[in-house]
Amino acid sequence: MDAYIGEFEQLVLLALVRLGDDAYGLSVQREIAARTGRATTFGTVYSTLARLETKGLVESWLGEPTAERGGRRKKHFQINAEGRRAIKQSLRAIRQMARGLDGAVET
Amino acid sequence: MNPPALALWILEHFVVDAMRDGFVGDLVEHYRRDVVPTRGLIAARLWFWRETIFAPLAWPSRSSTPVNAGDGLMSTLAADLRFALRLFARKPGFTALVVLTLALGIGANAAIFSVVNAVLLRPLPYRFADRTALLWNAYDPSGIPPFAVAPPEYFDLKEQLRAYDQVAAISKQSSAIVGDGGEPEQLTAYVVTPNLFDLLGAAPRLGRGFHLDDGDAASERVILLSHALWMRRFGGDSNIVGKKLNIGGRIRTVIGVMPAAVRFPDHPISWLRERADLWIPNSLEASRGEERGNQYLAVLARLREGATPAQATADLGMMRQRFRAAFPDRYASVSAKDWRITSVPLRDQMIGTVRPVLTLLSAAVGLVLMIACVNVANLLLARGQLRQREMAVRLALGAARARLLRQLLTESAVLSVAGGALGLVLARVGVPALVRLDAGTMPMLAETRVDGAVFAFVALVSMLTGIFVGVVPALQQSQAELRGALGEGTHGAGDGRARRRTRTALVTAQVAMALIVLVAAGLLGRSFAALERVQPGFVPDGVMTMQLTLPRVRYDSAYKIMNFAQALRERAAALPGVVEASAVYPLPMAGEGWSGSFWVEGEPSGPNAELPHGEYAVALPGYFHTMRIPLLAGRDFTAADVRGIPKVVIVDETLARKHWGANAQTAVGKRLNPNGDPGDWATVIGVVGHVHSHGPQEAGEAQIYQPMLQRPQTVMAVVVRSGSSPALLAPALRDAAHAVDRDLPVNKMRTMDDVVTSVIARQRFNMLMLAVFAAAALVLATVGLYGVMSYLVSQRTREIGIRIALGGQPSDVRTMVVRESLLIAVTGVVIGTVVSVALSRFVSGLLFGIAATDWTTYGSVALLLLVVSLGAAYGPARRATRIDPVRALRE
Repeated sequence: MDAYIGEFEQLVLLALVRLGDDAYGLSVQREIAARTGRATTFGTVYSTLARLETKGLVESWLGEPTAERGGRRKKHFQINAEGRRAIKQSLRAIRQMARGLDGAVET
Repeated sequence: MNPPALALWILEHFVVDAMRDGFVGDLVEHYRRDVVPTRGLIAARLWFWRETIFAPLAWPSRSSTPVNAGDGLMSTLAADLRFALRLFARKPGFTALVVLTLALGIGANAAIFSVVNAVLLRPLPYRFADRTALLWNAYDPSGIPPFAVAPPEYFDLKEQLRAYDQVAAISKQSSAIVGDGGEPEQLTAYVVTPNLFDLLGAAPRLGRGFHLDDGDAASERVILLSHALWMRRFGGDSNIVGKKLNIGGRIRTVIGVMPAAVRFPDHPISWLRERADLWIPNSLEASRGEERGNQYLAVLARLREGATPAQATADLGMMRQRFRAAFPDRYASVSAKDWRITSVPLRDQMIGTVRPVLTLLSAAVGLVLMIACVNVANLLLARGQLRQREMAVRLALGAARARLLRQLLTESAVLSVAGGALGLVLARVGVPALVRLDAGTMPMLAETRVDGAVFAFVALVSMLTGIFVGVVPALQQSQAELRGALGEGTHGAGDGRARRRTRTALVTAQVAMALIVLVAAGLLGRSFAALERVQPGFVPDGVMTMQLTLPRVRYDSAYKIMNFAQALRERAAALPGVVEASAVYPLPMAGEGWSGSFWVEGEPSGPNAELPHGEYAVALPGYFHTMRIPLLAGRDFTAADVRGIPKVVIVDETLARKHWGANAQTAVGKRLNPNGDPGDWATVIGVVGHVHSHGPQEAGEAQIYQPMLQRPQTVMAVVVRSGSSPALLAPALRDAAHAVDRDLPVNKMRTMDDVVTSVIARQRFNMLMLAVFAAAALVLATVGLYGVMSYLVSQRTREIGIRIALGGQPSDVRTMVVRESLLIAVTGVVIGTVVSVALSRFVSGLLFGIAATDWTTYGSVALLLLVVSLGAAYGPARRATRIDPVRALRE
C-alpha cells in the first residue's frame, strides 16, 4: 500500500532524513522549528512519529537512560526505506503540481 | 530545576507505555536544558504544564486515515473530545466560570479528603491493631472519664484474663538526654513493659526488640529509639546499636530503632499525648506491691485469636467480681458503686475524638460541591437553550439520541476533569495552609499529603461530578423538540416550562444545602465565641512560661529541688523586663492534670464515706499574683512555708464554698488532709479564685495548692510576668535556667497566651474551616439564585412585555419577580431547616454553651438567605421593569 502522508508528516520525515542518527523527539521538534519557524507542542511531534511508525515508515529503538532526562530512556527514530520512498513520492507530487506556476505560488 | 511534580505524575500515568520514556524524557531534557535557562523558572513551569495539557489533545490522529485503520487511537470518544474542546475554546468565559466553580468545589473536597485519609483511613502501623484494646478503671456508668490503672491491677489483669493473650502497660517519663555531645534536649520517653511491641505486632527496623527480661532490675539498661529521634539527633547513624546514651541521668544502651511509622502512642491516648522519641523497658515487678490507688498506667490488651467480644466482656465482668471480693474498700465502696474495668478498642481510643469533626467537615464540603454542581448544571441548561437548534438539526439528520447524549456527557466530563485537575492544584496549595492552621492538636494532621489516594478520590469525584452536572441538561437537550426548535421564535413552549421547573427545583435544593452549611458554621461560631468569653480565672496576657523536668538522678533530695526552684525564681525575677516570677506544677491548660481524693476535717472519712475529689497543684510564693489569680482571703505562700513546719495549703473558692460556706474568710484556719496519709493535716491559709485548668470548656473541680517548698516536684513550669512583650523574654529565661544548671534541657517555652489558644485550637480550626465552607456555599447559592432569576425574567420577556403594554405597573412586575425569588428562598429555607434539625444531634457533641437547635442561629441564617435572595432578585427585577413592550412583542 502506498501510504498517503500529510503535510506535517512530510516535515517530520524530512527532519528525520536531515538528522540521520541523531533523531529523537526533541531534535525533530527543534529541526522543524529552526527551519520553518513553526512552534509545535511535543504532543504533536510525538503523535506524528507514532503514527508514522504504525504506517511502517519509521523505525524506533530505546537508548540508555540519562540523568538529564530524569533517568528515562531516549527513544531514537530513523526513517526506513519505505519512508524514504514515501517522502520522495510525496515531494515529487508537489513539485509536479507546482511546475510552471513559478510566478503564481513561489515567492 | 525539576519540572512540576504533579504534571510529571500525570504524564507518567497517562502516556502510553511505548512512548512514555521517550516522550516524557524529551520534555524533561528540553525543560532543563533549554526552557528554564532561556525563559526563567515560572515561565518554564507554565510551559511544562501547557505541554502536559496539550499532550493528550494532540495524540488522536488528525490525518484522514479511515477509522480503525492506522494508529487505532481515533474513536468516537476522541472525536467527541475534540468537538468539546473546540466548543469550549470558543466560549472561554463560560468555560472558565464552570471550571473554576468545579475546581473550588473539588479542591475543597480533595483538601478535606487528604486530612480524612491521613487521620482516619490510613491504617495504624500495627499488625494486631484491630485486636488491641485499652483497659481502664471506670467509676461512672458511662465509663467517662476513664481512669488509669495501678501496677498491682495490671498484674491481676495480665495473669487472670483468659480472653486476652497479651497484656502490656505504658506510662510517661519525661527524660532528658545529655552527655552525647549535643545540646541537652527534653525528649518524650515512655516506660513500657517489654512485651508492648510484641502485643501490637511491630518489629524494629534496626537492631533487636525488647526481650522479656529487658525490663528487670538486674538486666542491662536498654532503650529502643524512634526513627525520628535516630534521624534528628543521630543523623541516621547505622552504628547506633550498642551506643550508650545518658537518658535522664542514667546510662542506657541503644538496642534498636523502630520503623518510621511507629511512634506509639501515635495518636493521643488520654493523657499520653505526645508521640514517642524513645521507649524504656520496665517489667514493673518492683511496683507489684504498690498501693492500688497509685494509678498511672495505660494498659493494653490483645484479644486472643478467635476470642469473641462477648468472651472479653464476660472476662472483664469476672475481674470485677474478683476485685470487689478481694478489695471491697476500694472497688465496692459507696464512691465506687459503679466501678468496673472497661475496654476501648485502640483505634477508637486514638482517633475517636476527631471522627465527628471530620465527618462534619466532610459533609459540609460535600454540600459545597453539590451547590457548585447545581450552579454548573444550571449554566449547562442555559447553554443548552442556545444549542437547541444544533441538536434539532442533528436529530433531523438522523443522529441517534444515545449518540447526542454521549457527546453531551463527554462535554460535561471534560469540564469536570478540567475542574478536578485545577482542584487538585488548589488542594496542593491548600493542604499545607490547612496543616498550619491546626496548631498540632489533630493526630497525624502533619502527615497529610496530596498522594495517590487523594488523586484517586479526585478522579472519582470529578467523574461523578461530570455525570451529575451533565445528565439533566443532556437528557433535556437530547430530547429537543424538532418542530419547536427549528421553527423560530416560540419562546415559552412546553419544553421551556419543564426546563424552568428543573432549574427552580435545583436552585431550591441549593438554598436548602446552603442553609445547612451556614447553620453548622453559625453554631460552631457561636460555640467558639462562648468558649472565648469564658474567664479562665487568670490573666494570660504578658506571661511567659518555661516547662522544666529536673533529672531525678541529680535532683535526688527535696533540698536540691527546693534550692534549684528558689535560685531560678530569684534569677528570673531579676531579669530586665520581668515584673515578677514564680513557678507551678501543673501549668493550667498545658495538658497535664493531677487530681485525687482528700479528707476534710470534721467530715466523715471512713471506708464507706464518699470522699471529696479535687485538682492538685504545687506553687512557689508569688504564683497567684504573677498569674493575677485573685486572693480572696488569707495570705499567699511565703519563703517561710518550707518543709519541717506544719503543712499549709491554699484552696480555691469552689472548695471553700462547698465545705465551709459562701464567706471565703471562714475557710482560713480550717484543716484538710490532701494526701490521705493518716494524721497529715494541712491548714488552709488562703482562698483564691477558681482556675479553668483544663481549658475553658471544662469547669473543672475544686482546687488545692500546696507550697512547692513543702512538697518539691521535679517537674515544674516557671511563669514570669513581663512589662512588655513576653515572648522576648524567652532567651534570657533560658539563660537563667542554664546559669543555675548548665545541663538542664529547656525546650517548652510558650507564652501563656499561646498555651490558652492551643487549648481551643481544635475548636478554632473547626470553626474556621466551616466558616470558609459556609462563605463558599453562600456565594455559590447567591450566584445560582441570581442566574435563575435572570433566566426566568428572560424567559418571560414576552409575557412581561404584554403586561406592560396592557398597562401593568413596573412595581407589579418587580413584585412578581421578587415574589418568585422569595418563594424559592422560603421553600429552600424550610427544607434546609427541617433537614438541619434532623441532623442536629450529630453536631451537638462539638458545641459548647449552645444547643444544636439554637433558634437564634437558625433564625439569623434563614433571614440572611432571604435577604440574599431579595438581593439576587433585584437586578433581574429592575431589568424586567425596563422591558420595552414593542421590542418584546416583535421578538
